[in-house]
Amino acid sequence: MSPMTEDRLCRVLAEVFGVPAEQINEDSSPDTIENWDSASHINMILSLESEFDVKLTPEHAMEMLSVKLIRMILEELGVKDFK
Amino acid sequence: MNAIFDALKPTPASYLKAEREISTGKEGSLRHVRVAVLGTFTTNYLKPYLTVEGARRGLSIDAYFGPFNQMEQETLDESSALYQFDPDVVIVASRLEEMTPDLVNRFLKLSAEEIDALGERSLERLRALLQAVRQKTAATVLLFNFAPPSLLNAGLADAGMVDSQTAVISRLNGSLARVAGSLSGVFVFDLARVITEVGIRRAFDAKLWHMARLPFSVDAQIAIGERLARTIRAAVLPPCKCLAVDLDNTLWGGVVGEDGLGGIALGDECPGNAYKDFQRELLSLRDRGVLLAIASKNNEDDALAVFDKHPDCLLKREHFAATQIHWGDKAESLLAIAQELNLGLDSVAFLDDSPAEREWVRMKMPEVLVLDFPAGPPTFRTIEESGAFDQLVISGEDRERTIFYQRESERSKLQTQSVSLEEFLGDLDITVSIGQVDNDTLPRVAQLVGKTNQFNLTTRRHTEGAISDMLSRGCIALWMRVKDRFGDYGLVGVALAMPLTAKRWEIDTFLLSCRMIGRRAEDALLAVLIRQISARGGEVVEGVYIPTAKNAQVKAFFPARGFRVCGTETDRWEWDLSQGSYLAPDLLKVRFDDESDD
Repeated sequence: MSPMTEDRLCRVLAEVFGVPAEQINEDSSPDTIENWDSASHINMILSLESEFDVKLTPEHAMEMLSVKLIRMILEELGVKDFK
Repeated sequence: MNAIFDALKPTPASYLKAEREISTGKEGSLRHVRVAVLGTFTTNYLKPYLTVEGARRGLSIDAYFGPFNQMEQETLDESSALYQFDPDVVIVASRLEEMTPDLVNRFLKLSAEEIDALGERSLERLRALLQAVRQKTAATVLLFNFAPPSLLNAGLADAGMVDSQTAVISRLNGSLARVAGSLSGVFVFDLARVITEVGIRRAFDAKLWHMARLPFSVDAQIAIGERLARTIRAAVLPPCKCLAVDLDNTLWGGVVGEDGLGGIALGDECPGNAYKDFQRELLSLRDRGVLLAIASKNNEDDALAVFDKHPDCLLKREHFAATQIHWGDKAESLLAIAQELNLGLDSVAFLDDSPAEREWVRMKMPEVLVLDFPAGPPTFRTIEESGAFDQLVISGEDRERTIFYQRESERSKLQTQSVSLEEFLGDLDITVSIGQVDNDTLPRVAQLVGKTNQFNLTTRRHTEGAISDMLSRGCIALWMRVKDRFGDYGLVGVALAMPLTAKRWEIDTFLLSCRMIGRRAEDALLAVLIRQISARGGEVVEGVYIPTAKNAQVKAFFPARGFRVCGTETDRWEWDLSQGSYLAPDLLKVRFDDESDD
């Protein structure tokens, strides 16, 4: 099993967008994942809030446009453990 | 499939994953339903919740979501995507927040007249929209009612106002119910109740509204999905008609055979009060028309003594339509109950505190709905939320049903005294009234068409909307009421006939409520139906029998009444009016209220 599938962030995105977690990497974005549209983006934001127990603002939501950026914002909000 | 639901968490990610697993699983046993949703907000976020909660309730939901806030465009235009989707169910999710924002946001600036006018305008808009849907499809329509607003414009002072914002909205919901009730096949979806159950503070999410025109939190979206799935299930599948209950540790705490009459927990103090409350709730379920029955392993005398002698036992023997108290197999007891009440096993739900008995019944009688029984005294919420007894309409007949069954047992006693069937029926003094289906009788007629299993020749499940549509295409639709010297049974028979050609008619639907079987009332209905067909110029009447798992008893209905085999077909017979008209049995008094002549 690749290390990415154990990553909570990748697992949530895989569930929301319906792609295998193995296919998600730090550069994944709406440009590389077909199902990542404005509606599933909202579902992603809601699922991240619940998975990482954080509150995300509309500004956060607008900035979360790649896995790298999402991880950065979650870390800023105090998330340390992605396993 | 169960593994999918066990793994479910209350997040979009989890529901989206489950939705994909369900759609690739393609479970063949699910009932397919096409559901279209129109709304004043973005409704398509509801999709995973609707699909997953539908599958949990035996439905394979294929959903269409209309574009945001385009209800008129979708409903008034015959060529719209809505009608091309050909829905079985149309959900109208309209909110006051979007339809009349002032009632929600600027309530205090409005005069009483303005409030009335705004409310009336919203209702008129919905009425026009619903009428359009009604004219263009036979779909069942579910109309959202109005939820309490997330904040009150008068704040704390709202409570003291005679025509408060809260009161005005709840009054509008009353008018909305009248609008829905005036159209066939249109039912209210109680969003207000769902939002109150979730909690107003927790149900609305301003951030989601601002980002996506989605007013509801994830918790509320899930709750709406669940309740919609339950409602759709109730619209397409018949409810259970009987609840069979165990006794020890179900209707009272403890074991009466060991603890004795004074030792069981049943009364006004804890823990007996939980059981007394539960008994009261079962009586209320019985008021809805659900038959209660007992399936218990016990000494009959010990058990019956509780009903006869225990001062806090609210349930009495006469509240039970059937009783099986002995040490035999419970699966067999349930079968005996179903037979005694003339019900299919899938009309029976079973409540028992013993996991072993539940598992046994699940294995031996998979048709029976085995209810969950969490640890501790039983709670009615488990029964209610199982959806087993969900009905969109409770008719007068439903409320009277339990009394019918009580009389039925008196009648069967009489049957054992009488000599011949003819004498017995003559003794009963049966009067049959038959009339044309109209707006007043249509809801009950559709209810019977939707749920009658045994005495049902074709089991074609037409909705209210579909029957209205058939009427507009020349259908003869008759209802039948029956009474005898024990009482009035209400509307218990339906016959629908459609013209195939000018001279050849088909009996599309012919059914009788199971409590009417064996009184020859069906012959009266058939006689009037054939007479009506003849009056409309029909010369040949075709009868069809479509076999199902339940209706074997009417297999020979047509041939037994002198219908001749229709060519080479095996399930189709015909009555040629040149062979004479069909006569009703002399034993019955038949009255036909013909309103079609005026």
